[in-house]
Amino acid sequence: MTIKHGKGSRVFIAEFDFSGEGRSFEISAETDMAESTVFTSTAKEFVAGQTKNAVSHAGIWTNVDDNWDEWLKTNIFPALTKAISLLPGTPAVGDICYNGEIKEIRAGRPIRVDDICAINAEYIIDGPLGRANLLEYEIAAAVGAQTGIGQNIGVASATQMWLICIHVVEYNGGAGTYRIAIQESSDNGATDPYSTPAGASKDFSNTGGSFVFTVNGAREAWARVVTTQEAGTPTCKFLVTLAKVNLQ
Amino acid sequence: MAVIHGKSADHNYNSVALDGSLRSIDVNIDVDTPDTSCAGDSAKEAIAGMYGWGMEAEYRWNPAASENDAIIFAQILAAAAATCDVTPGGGTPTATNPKYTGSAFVKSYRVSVPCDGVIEARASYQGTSTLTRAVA
Repeated sequence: MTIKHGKGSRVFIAEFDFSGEGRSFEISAETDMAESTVFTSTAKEFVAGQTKNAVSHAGIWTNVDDNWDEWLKTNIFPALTKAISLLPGTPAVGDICYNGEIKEIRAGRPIRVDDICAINAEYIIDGPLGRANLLEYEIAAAVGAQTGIGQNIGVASATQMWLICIHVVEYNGGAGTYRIAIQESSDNGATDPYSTPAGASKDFSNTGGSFVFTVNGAREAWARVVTTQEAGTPTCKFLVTLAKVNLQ
Repeated sequence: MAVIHGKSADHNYNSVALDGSLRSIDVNIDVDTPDTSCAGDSAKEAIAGMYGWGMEAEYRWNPAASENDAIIFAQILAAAAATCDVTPGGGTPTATNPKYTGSAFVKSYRVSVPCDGVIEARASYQGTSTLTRAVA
């Protein structure tokens, strides 16, 4: 059995890697259970309702400029949706992880005379929390144009969609445009060439950033990431997580 | 009296064995007992209503195919009940080794990732309708 230690886990929110300030995180999915017991029931009965998804993220409060604390303070009020990818254990391409779109943030900063200053944040996920595949993980060194390795994530049905998070944590090379596309194939390109579904690519111009977006409808089983330098010769550090979730 | 250790417990959800990563599981059965006390009673009185049940399981998080994370997460997406069972002593159910079985939803699922420990997963199963106690 695969037992994984939590060390080496990573938390990416928007275009930031907050792993260096985190000590733990917990994902939770809670489904409403509506009781449907009737007189003739032999025991209590229920039907499933909607699922609320959230992430608890605890760590260390630091005084560094442009850190997790500053990001939380800046983003707690606008309620702008942000991409989040959570990578348990020391991550590698193909590993299982979780992704989603943060809608609401709650954050406390407990300060105790006998402990380090801390941050306890809770992120409410807007819509589904994806059980995702780490499709590309290029954060050790910035890369230019390249073709990623195909991952068999299984077909998505017509009632499902891809939930994709792209985090570009570093952009180098000055003015230009860097394109990250997710391609699909039914057989890893053996007889069915990889192609990019409509809406499955994003451009980054002159800066890093992030996207969380969906590609609806039936999808092929295999997926890969292809990056191109559309203008100039930019290079990036980035990661892509992709989950199959039900259509909303 | 036979004392049963939990180390050999069998546990399945949606027809997939999850005991290979199981750390603990609680089988909870509660009966509604509305108060029927009236003036003149010497102490509180109650009457039995209908029972409900659920299971609370803790696992070592296992992301592999057909292991706890994949099976439980898929069932959340399906929003459907599936068979959940546990045999505390493991093996074939007998009169002295009962097996609890019922249909249950995944009511909640949590994955905890600490920087200083093993990654754990917890599932709360909400039983719907009958829980059986098989002895054969």
